[in-house]
Amino acid sequence: MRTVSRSIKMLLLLFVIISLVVGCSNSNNNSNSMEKEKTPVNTPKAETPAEPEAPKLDPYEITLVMPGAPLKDHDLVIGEMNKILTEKINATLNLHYVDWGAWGEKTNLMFASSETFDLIFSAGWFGYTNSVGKGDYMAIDELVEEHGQAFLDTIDPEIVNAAKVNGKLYAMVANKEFAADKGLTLNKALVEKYNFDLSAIKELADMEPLFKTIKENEPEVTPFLTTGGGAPSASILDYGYYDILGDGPGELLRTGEGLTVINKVEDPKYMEYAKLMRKWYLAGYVNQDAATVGDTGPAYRAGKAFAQTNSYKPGWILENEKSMGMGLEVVQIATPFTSTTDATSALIAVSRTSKDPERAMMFMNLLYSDADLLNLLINGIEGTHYVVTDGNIIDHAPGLDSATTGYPVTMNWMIGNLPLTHVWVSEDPNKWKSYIDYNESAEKSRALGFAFNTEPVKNEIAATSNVEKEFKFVIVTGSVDPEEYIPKYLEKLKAAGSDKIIAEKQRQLDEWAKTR
Amino acid sequence: MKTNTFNMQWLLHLVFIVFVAMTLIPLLLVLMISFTDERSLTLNGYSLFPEKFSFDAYTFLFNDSSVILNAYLVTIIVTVIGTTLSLLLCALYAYPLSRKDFPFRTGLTFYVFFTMLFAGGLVPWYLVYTNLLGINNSLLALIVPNLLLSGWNIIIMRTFFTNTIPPELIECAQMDGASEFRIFFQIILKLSLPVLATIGLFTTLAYWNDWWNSLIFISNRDLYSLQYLLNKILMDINVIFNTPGNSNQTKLLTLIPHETVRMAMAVIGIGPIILAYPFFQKYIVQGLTIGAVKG
Repeated sequence: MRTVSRSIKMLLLLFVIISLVVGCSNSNNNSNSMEKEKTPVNTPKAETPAEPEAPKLDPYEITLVMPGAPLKDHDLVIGEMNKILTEKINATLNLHYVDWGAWGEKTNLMFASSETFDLIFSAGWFGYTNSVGKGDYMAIDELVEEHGQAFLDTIDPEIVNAAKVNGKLYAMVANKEFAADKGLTLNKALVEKYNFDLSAIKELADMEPLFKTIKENEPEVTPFLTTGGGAPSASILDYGYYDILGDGPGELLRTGEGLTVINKVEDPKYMEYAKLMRKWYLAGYVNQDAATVGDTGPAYRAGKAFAQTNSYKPGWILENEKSMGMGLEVVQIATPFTSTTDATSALIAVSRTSKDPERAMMFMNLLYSDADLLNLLINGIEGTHYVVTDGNIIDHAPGLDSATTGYPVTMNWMIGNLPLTHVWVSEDPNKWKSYIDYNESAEKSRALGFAFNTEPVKNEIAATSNVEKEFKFVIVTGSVDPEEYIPKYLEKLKAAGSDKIIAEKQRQLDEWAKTR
Repeated sequence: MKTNTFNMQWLLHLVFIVFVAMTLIPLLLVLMISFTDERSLTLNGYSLFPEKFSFDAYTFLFNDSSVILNAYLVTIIVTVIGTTLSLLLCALYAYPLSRKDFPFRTGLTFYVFFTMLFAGGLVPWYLVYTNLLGINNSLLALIVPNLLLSGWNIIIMRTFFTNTIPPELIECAQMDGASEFRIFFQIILKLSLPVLATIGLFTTLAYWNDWWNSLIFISNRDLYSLQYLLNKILMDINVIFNTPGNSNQTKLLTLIPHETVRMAMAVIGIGPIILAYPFFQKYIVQGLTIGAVKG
């Protein structure tokens, strides 16, 4: 009896192991066979180089790498796009997503192992110059001339130049707003309750009486909810008062003339903001955990705060009142300003591992000229995901909303000639027109187009960024006394090599100015 | 004198009560937050006694359950196959190293020992698995890299075999006509349950908690492991908040689940693995005592 039950057990165990192993190897076979299916698409290419101008192009699969996650109806939409693409440039699109959080590691490894792909998202705030420095992207000046005419026709040459590094173009900017204005977002209900006159506010310091009123009358509400990165010094000064000229210390004053790189920590304005925040912090206007807190969105939405800093563009209030579910008022403190970072806030670069950069460029050109194609990519399929209500205005298809749709809009700031796309009913109907006006009205930085190559001073930058981690957040949120801590911060920055970085920035900036 | 030891006893109890509380309370807090109403959470902050209970987080998770359930399945399959294979391979490697009559034992021990001290680096490691073996985007990528064979585990097993199994036993078995395989599977492994259970627990935990392999090798969402899903949220938040000059923060933030949902995911993530402990515990205690007696 014992032996029987034992052998049954052994049999069961064997069965389980075998079925697991078989199941596992099956899935491997699948993925292998999928890869095999893919390869023949590429191989004929390698043997017979494409004649770019020839009327009949060989079929090619363009791989576009974007951050984010695949949407539910991804395959459906790509299928529709491929119909257009096959007809126009005999290509198909493989839209490959990499999670935001895994982006750095994964794309580094993809480049390191020379994985084949054609186009990849990048941005001034997302490591663009670094990747160019490492040689991940291909210089595309000639390609654009040859196959990217629609891109050149659409984008202001000054903005195209902003994406250049050392005089060479490495990426195509998405056509959207190229500037940002900075200021404070206020809870509209509270503004109305206390009848605040917002037109009187010109400077950050003018907010003080408002905070005082809120503090005295609304014990449940934090007058000024902020974070290390959202403190006025970090969000208003860094992008509206200085041009931060890429990574590392060394800034340019927005006002004035000339191209002298300064260290903002020594600037009187920096001290002024730090002192102001210190005063408010001690008075209890600022949340006491500001230096360490992460996501303040939920608390703000719950009505527990009066003011918050933000970065604005046309239609911001409308878009955010919807998503936050509350009335908002905006006080502008820094007027629209275009720096290299703003101009390069969404880029598509051509990977050096691309097998057919010309076809990739033809595809990008379509995204700047073919409204149908771009609308598919951004908004999904007409009838399935959206319906046209009036002219260029669209709404969710009947029975769907932004939560239930299989293709929610996520890429409407990342790629292509966005003014070609439809406008949603929830948005300003003149959205794209106002973007154009906004871009024109924005003050352009004297260093627009300068991109700092961090390579020669990367050790110093790493060292100063460690110092910054220690001091920046506590100083800008007013958590410590600036009179005592700013000199300390400065001293440590200098010890970490900030002067060397600033000198290098100055040198590169002067050189850049000569080539203009 | 008697009261003295009595007091000492209570002091010790107190220390351990505090220690246990320090370990349990955070866990309990996570559990309670996952049951808290989102709005009352933002208004009142974290609390062990939420003002308003809600199952919204779990409803949300299981409404959109395909991703979570899939990740669960992937993690379970990987943990079971991985642990079984890993134990078998480790034992098969460690046993010969413990035999004094095995000719290449110094060389092979050094080979294992060397990998404990030096590694090839991330990029070559990645290249071997993706370009040479081509196992990225498959379950094998979650089983083999880093986790399948650990030099540390092999050395522990070898030491256990050397210390607890007398060579005479093997000689006896040989004299009785047992083949090497029979000796290994029917005698050695039977006698080594404690070490197998201990290493088994380590390996199970390592497989269950692994997210690095998913991060590096997997781009197909259907093969994401549970821990990677959890980690992804944190990493996404990090990228969105720590990139300066990103005027699209508010747009990106919609991608991130609410606080209660994050906690609910953590609770689900702890899930079955907590049940594995009592099962292994018996053997671990045994393993410890055997070690103690033999010195």
